[in-house]
Amino acid sequence: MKVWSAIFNLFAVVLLAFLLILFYRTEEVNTRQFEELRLRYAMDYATEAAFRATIGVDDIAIDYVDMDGVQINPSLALETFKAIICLNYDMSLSEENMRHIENAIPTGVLFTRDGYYVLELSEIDTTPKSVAQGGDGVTGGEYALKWSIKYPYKVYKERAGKKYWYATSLNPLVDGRWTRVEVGTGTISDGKTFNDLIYGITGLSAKEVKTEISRLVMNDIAYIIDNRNMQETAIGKMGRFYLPVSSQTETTINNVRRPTLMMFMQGVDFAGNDILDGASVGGAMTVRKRVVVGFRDVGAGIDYYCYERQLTQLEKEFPGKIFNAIKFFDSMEDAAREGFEPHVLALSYDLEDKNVKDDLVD
Amino acid sequence: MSDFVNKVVTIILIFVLLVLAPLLISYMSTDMVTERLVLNEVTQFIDRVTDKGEITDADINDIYLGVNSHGGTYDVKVERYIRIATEDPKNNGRVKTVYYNTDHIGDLNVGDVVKVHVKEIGVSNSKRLMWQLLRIDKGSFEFSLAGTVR
Repeated sequence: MKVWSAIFNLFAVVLLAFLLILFYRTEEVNTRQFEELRLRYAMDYATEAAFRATIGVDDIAIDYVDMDGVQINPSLALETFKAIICLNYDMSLSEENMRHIENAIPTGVLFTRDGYYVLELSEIDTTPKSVAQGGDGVTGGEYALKWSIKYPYKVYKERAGKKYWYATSLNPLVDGRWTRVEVGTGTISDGKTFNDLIYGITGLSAKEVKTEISRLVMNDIAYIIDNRNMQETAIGKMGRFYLPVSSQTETTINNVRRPTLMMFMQGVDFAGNDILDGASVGGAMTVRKRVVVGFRDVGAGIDYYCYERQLTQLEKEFPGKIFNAIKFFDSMEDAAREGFEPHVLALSYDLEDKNVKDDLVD
Repeated sequence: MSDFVNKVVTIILIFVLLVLAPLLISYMSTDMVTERLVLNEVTQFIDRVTDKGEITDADINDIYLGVNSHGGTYDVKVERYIRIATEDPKNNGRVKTVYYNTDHIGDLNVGDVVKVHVKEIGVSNSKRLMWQLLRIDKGSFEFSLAGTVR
């Protein structure tokens, strides 16, 4: 009897150990899932904000279909993305934190109507560092993520014995404009409707164009990821970036049809105990014109900037003061560049009449 | 004598296996669901206010009640950040974009950031039990989430 009792106890202890391990693992998985979900939300918010920052001249009253015509400039996208990720994880917007976040971004793609930009690691300090300074005598040795030049959506097609390179638009079904160059002669011709593409002139189908765009962009991303892995391996880190499967479908990358920003994050080590990965695709736009106005507070003799409507509110708030509008700008950055200070109080005022708000968000 | 010790150990083990372990696992899964529901409440709030461009008292009450209606006790802080670009004199006059925390919560402008910080101020059953049994303290559950006004 004693032996049986001891065996039972031993069995129970083993079972208890299993339970403890199970408990620990469940807890771990739970935390990881929560952090993954949170990273996904944070990336979605950051990608959306970054995409909005790309829309030039804050903008023209245009509708959804006309969106293809919006001027898109990627210069602020990466900074905005990193700033919003910082805010999501209670990190200060310091250079160090920004650089840390950058380390987790293998690449990103900004699709515009007639071409795309990719994020790649580029040399930012081009002053050669000597071997004595720890360099190789040729490069500056300091790298950061930068947007590439705009690449066209190029498609190769042979037709009636001639070879052509076509530059097409992102969504040939909506915008059929194309330009082509004949290989050998360099003759340039163009067309305005997609019907031209179907009926005879080019022999290209919409599916063919989209598949080709997908292949083109995917190859670029794969190349950049490969390069980054090689660079990381060279400095003693294991290549940790990869092309996420979720980012592509059979015909095209997530079926991107209109200007869109696609961002990837891998090896995220600031979101909890685990190292996480994520990918986000964001496309959105605003439909209101916002002009930044530079003005002088005559009493104080200081030049400030705020948005146009906010200046009138400021005048109402301080009837005794004189504010002279000096210059209009497309963005706050332009105003700051010309020496105008942000008027923090005015910038917190309501920008527009909420009754006429008609955002279009994807 | 050893028979008696065996019996005591058996009773303790049965109690742990049949009472404490299921209780702890049940509490833990409740916590798991609560944390996800709280995250969901916060994303819903951010989506709503960034979409309509204002934070009303009703919105604030809604998130306080929403977050605290899933079993836990949480403190919720809603902040508004406005984007500002300034010249950095230390950096060759390079323009730097920063986000400035403002007290004027209410009407929001396009590009503003709404940040919600949630912190657990109560102690959940699973955490209390874990502390009583194993003296393990995971710390309070907290997170932030921020989105920009559309």
